[in-house]
Amino acid sequence: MKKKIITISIIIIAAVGLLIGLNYFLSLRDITFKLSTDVSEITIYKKANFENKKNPIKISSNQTIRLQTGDYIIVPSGEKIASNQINLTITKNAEVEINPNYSANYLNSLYAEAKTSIYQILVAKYPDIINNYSLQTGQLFIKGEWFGGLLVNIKSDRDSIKDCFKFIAHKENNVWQIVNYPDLILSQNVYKTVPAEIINTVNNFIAEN
Amino acid sequence: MEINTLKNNKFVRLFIIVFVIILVFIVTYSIYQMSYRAGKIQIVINTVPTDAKITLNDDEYKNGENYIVAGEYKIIVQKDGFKTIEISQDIIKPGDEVDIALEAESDSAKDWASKNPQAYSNFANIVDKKTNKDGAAFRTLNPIVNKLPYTNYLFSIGYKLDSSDKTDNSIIITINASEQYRQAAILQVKQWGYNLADYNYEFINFDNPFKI
Repeated sequence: MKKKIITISIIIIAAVGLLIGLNYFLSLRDITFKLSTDVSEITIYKKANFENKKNPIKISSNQTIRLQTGDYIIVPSGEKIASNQINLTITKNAEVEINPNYSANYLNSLYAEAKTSIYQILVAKYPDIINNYSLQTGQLFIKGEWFGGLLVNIKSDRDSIKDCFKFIAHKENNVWQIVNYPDLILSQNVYKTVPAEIINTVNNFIAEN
Repeated sequence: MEINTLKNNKFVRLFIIVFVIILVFIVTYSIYQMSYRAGKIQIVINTVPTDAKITLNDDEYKNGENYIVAGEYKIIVQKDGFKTIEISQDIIKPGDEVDIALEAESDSAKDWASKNPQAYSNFANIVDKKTNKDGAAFRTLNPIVNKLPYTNYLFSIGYKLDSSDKTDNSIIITINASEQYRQAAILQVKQWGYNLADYNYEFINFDNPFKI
């Protein structure tokens, strides 16, 4: 009788173990991570383990790994990039491109050179009026290929608030170009190719007195 | 007993024949309707008087639901004694309604109109309901219109329909302010909590020097 109970218990435990193993095996998916050249490493956490930084998986080159379905948080690292966390939900085999924006610090280091180039473009494009304006505020976005700026009228007769023109420049093949033309407000409908986050930031630029 | 059975058989046979005829009729009618409506859109035409002659590009239609191919039409609604209404180059698209009330001109038509005020009030109700429904949808798409027009001592903000949008659901915000107060008007839109980029703008009495 005792033997029977032990045998049945073993069978039940083995069956449960088999089911758990099978469930784990069936929940695995092939995830191919493709890291942009400026990403030196990514650290992958299960969402539940992120706070305690438990069981991290580190990847430093393009590779395919098997992960269970579920929610994950990826933290990229690299000299130039922002290490903002990236949320990932795995439901099926997938290819995940890790291509984070440059960090604010790195974008700031590129700013002065970009501003000079863009001002030269503005001078060439608007030679008759550009001297009336000062490129007062500017910011680089994403990978430094987008620039938003604020031109403030410095020659107006009025002492009080003057017109401020916002504009966006885009670098393609290493050449800066002004998108559309500077305007008082940038509408998404007009700047369809420009990411919304850039337009919204530029629209909020305020002239300094 | 035998007579009863025979009678019953006859009744069943008759029932089956009638049933089959009705079924054939329904199937034929459905096929006809489907082929007639294929590639067409449903539009509702409301007219007063309801028996007015309605022609769309010379084809006659009836008051109520109609099926037509979406496109550009010349609409004529006429009835003896009433002023003919003619709308040329009207683009009809899915969900459109054509609402036309004819104005009585002859004495007999005026007499009819005075004796049938209900026909005109029913028509007005239909148009009102439609306008309210469209208005609610328009306001949902353009919530800023709930704040407009807005005027203070420094500037005014209004809106107009964007003619480049054929659905009539897009607007252009119009801002009338001197250079000194244009930024204040822009700030007002922001302070209402709207995203500036969501709308198109027209600044009155303003020439953008960068727009070459």
